[in-house]
Amino acid sequence: MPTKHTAVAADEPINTALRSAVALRALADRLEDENVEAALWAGWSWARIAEALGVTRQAVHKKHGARVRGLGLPAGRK
Amino acid sequence: MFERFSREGNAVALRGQEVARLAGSATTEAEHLLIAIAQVPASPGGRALAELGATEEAVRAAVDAEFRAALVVAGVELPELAPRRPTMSVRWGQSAKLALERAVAETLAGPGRSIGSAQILLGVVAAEAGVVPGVLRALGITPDDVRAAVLATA
Repeated sequence: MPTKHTAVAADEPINTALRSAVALRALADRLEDENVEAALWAGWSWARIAEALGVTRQAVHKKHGARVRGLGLPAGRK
Repeated sequence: MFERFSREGNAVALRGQEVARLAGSATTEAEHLLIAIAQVPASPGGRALAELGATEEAVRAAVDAEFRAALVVAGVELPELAPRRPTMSVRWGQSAKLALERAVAETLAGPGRSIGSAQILLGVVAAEAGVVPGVLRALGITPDDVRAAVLATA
């Protein structure tokens, strides 16, 4: 049985690899937040944003609607 | 969960939520608690961190460095991002829940004591995986260093 110390050392690449997956997801979320907002400023409709993201309009509205409410965004029609 | 928390321990939990909220996070995670502890160097937990050079600024920089390092593993360089807007409300994230549960367990070992910043700090640094081990590595300290500093400054 390895000592606690060697076990931790051997486990570290695994933790790092798992962490990288989580970090990528966090980065993807930030990119989505930032660019959904940019699209709304550019006048994109929720339907068009949803199509770009490959999700339903309901899904994108549910995820971002509350967050961007009150920013004075143009009501998109494009 | 919070009934055994001292006023000072409760303040850490509240500040952790505020740190997360201002960072635009949907959840409060263990690293937000760590920043919240470092924010008050006069508190038992904050004193232990300060002893190790882990100021609020240093912890924040380490959290950022850990995120960048985790992305580099996947071959991704963190792009320039707009600062995140504060979130309206935050839920407790799994890493913070685990840290607080460990803080409770830590305290049950010493009878009659309430849970304060030092116990929460011990709960945070006991994480064997996730963000915190990388943050400690970026700070150049180990969980044992933190445990020793907590005992020495208690």
